[in-house]
Amino acid sequence: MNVSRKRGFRAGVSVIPSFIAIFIGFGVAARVADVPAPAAVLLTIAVFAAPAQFAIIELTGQGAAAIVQMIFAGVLINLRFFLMSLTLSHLFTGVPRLRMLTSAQFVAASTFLLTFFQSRKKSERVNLHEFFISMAVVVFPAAVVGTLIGVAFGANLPPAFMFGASLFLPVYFALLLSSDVKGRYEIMAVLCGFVFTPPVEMLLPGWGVFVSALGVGAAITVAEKR
Amino acid sequence: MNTIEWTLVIAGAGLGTYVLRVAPFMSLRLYRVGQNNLRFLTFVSLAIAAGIVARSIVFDGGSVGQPPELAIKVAAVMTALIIQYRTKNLLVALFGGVGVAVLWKWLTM
Repeated sequence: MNVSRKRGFRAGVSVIPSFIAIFIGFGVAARVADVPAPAAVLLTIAVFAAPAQFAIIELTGQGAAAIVQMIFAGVLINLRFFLMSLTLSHLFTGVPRLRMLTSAQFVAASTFLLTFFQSRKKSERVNLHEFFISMAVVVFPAAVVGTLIGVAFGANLPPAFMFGASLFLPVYFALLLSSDVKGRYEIMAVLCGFVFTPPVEMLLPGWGVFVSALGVGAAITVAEKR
Repeated sequence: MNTIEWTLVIAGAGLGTYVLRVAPFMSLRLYRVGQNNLRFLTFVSLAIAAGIVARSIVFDGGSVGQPPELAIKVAAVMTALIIQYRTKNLLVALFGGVGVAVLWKWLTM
């Protein structure tokens, strides 16, 4: 296994507990909402984005009349992937477009951010696309397994275990940020993202991270150019 | 909802999301837009990471978490940061921080 794959694999393994915990949560919610088990699993495979999946199954109670609404809710919540892919398209230089047709399905907040952080380690010669794919090979099945566990027996898992598993992702990101941020504008971006996300999330449930990141990004870009 | 309706939802949401994911890799025009705004995209990426940390600490599912739970989460992050500072080992820090949180949660249940 080459260095890029090894690093990607290792990064993926670090976030497996969070992925499983998040998708167990989705599996449990799907079961409560009377979503058939195959539909819940297929939704994870096709959409691979827990927040959108939660939004979709929340509308299940409204029946078939809400089909269009469910699709729109799911796609709108995933708008952030457009921005993430736009950033990744500049990190995956020299990758044939056809290959990206399959790789793109694995763009998610964690796969994107871990690749982004890896790209900033200039001293390490890593093929970022290989890193990304090796990570996806680990986290994508974890999402499917998490959904299956949630649908099958999520309600019986110990709460302390679920609580701990859900913390891997935020703690990991906090550690990466603490060791990675350079310069006062980047520090400002991190601090503002940290401070503004919760209130924006309260105002616009499900949109807090995306909307505040866009606002913070725009404001700091303007500040830096002055 | 029947099987056909579920198939429509899964296909619609999956395809719509996929288009959002794949479009920037396929379109040269979008690629150039990104090239001209790389600093903006860097700041947005950092703010997303910080936002995910903040949301996970403050929120419990869809609502604001209870103060005791918030304290445990803050302790987990702080412990991990201290361990990282002392050991320079990311995985030890990660498991150390989460381990403290699980232990605290288990003791107070």
